[in-house]
Amino acid sequence: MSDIMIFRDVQKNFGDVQALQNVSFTIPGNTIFGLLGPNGAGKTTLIRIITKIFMADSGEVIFDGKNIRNYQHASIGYMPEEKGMYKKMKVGEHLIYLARLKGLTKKVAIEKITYWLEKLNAQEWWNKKIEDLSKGMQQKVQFISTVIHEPKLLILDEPFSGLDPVNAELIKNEIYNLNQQGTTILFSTHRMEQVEEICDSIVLINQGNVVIHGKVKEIKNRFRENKYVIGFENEAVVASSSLFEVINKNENNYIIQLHADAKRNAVLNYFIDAGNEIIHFEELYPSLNDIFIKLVNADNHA
Amino acid sequence: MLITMRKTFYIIAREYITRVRKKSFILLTILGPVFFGLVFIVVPVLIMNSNTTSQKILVKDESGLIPALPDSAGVYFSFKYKEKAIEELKTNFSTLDGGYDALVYIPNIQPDAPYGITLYSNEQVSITTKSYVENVLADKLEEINIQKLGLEKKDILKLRPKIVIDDEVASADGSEKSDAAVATGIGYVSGFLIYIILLIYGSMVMRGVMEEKQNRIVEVMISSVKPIQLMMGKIVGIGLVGLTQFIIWIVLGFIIQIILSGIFAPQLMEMQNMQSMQPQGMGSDNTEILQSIESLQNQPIGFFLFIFCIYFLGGYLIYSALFAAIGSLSTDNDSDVQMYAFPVTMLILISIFIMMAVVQQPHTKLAFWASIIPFSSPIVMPAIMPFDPPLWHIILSVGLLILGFIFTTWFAARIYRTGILMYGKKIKFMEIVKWMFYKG
Repeated sequence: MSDIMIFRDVQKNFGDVQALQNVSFTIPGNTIFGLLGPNGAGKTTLIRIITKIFMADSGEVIFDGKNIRNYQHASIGYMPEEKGMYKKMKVGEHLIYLARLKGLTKKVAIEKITYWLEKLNAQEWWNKKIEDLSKGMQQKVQFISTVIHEPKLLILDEPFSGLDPVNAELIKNEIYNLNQQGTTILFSTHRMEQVEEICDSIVLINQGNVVIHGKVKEIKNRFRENKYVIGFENEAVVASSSLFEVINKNENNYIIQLHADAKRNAVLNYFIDAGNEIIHFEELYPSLNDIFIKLVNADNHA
Repeated sequence: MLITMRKTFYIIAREYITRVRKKSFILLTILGPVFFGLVFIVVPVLIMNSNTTSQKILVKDESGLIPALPDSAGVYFSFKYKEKAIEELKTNFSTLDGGYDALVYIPNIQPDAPYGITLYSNEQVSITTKSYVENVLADKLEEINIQKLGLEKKDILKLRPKIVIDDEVASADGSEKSDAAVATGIGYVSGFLIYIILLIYGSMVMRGVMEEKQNRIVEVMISSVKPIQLMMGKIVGIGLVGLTQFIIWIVLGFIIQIILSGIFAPQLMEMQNMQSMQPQGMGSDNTEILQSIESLQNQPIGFFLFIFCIYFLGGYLIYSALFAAIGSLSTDNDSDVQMYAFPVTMLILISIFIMMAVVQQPHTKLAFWASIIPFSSPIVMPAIMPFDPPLWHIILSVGLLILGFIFTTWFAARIYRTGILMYGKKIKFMEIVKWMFYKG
């Protein structure tokens, strides 16, 4: 599928502060895409350019084949990190209001709200005031208001913060469902394990620049360090050798790093010859977390 | 365009409905007039009455000229203890006969040279009491002096006849009656009304913006609509709330007027009849009142209301845009907002002070400039209107008001769209200046 969003040399300054220096990357259509970066990297600026809260100073932003200036707000749904609602309004009228601002008629809005409230086990909330709901319940309402107009691109900034595991799972499943129906999801978070679990592709930005960009699998592949986990049935004495070095040990499991020219089978033979009973042997891919920290540190010291 | 307008309409509708539905709106609408009644009627009455807490005053007269003085509702004189010396009375007047509030000492004076009269008291005696004592003493001495000269009281009145001047303003289309007192009154009330509107509804806009910013809904909103739509939607919505309130008050006012005139109409008729029966002399005060009523009816009410509405609208739009911009600068610390709100509130306060000076002297340079500068004209110009300013003056003022509105809205929108997204630290003034030049 073609790219839904293309950034070309996007720059944005606030006075003397360069929020985005020269950002280029693409978001493939119908994927779950992770937008990563430390605090102050420019993620929020990037999102605000996509949501047309403000425009880039220079460069080009293409959405769904057209310049971003020429599409309606209605094709995007945005759930910011700081969740906000009109606390005094009732759930129903709040959702109708936001839906109509996205261009839905009142009738369609009511149909969709009914559908979503039922889906999220919240039918009886319609006439409740938002301030009377718990934080998790409010977050569900906010999620509904974000997806109600069936946007092509859904931007979720830390969507699970404040949700209990049950409700987080519920929302996660809805995100997968929407993705399957063709919605592209831009997912911004600090929680790397969530990114690894959910995202197909990512971009990592730091200090207003793209540090890395691509499919999660490819990125992990690129950063493998020839590390393996090996586990034994019984306690074994393992020491560094000409083939590998021992990095870490945990009971009968060892993390070893193979030397550049060492073959995996040679390593296995080495252990078999030593009379060790091998249970498993597996390549250890670096976690996104490790890659993230490594890249950001390198970038900041550069 | 159509979609933009429809969205702005939804925003206006929400701002309007959520406010009108509130209990506080209904309460304020009912209590507002009650409050004004309190301020304008009950408080002055209370102040007047508070002076009548009775004061007992002991008089020690050594001249023998003042045998008695008339009491008033609040002041009672006593001439006891003639035999006691002033030095003794001075020390114990507050304990004699259950305590006197003050002691008036009249030394041996000549009626045409009453020097050395002194008032002793333990607490400060109110100005009204003091001036009452002065008046009754002067009356008494006047009486003695008139007698000495061999005149009578009515001769004195003849010497100083009462003068009533009819104001007439010469204008191109023939001369036209005017009444400075009525014009001042109308001017004052109009200016004051707009002042109150600016403060109440301006700060309502400010609080609305602060609320949206602080509960973070604003980011969701401006990913659906443009910041200026959100800002203008709020301003118009709240303006309509104000208008609704005023319409309710006007309707209530008419109803009350009808009821009152039903009760008081016979008395008014009677007053007019009495007037015609008394050809001259005593009734002159009544003539003035009736003339004033007539003059009030002669004012071009329709045109005046129209101009009032223009300044109401212009003033509200200018100041609420400024207040919206200030609200957008709010942080979690409310005092930061007050720092920015202060100069704007000062502008309004200065305008009301200028207005109060201008209704007394509507043809000064100050009056002219204050009535064309858009920050003060909404308060000052309506106050000048009853004094028939020339047409070019009105057009100039309205024209500048419209320009002022356009500029202020542009200026406020640029602050607003950046301010609403700034969280955390206090926003410095120089930063705001920079925002003016950010690209869309």
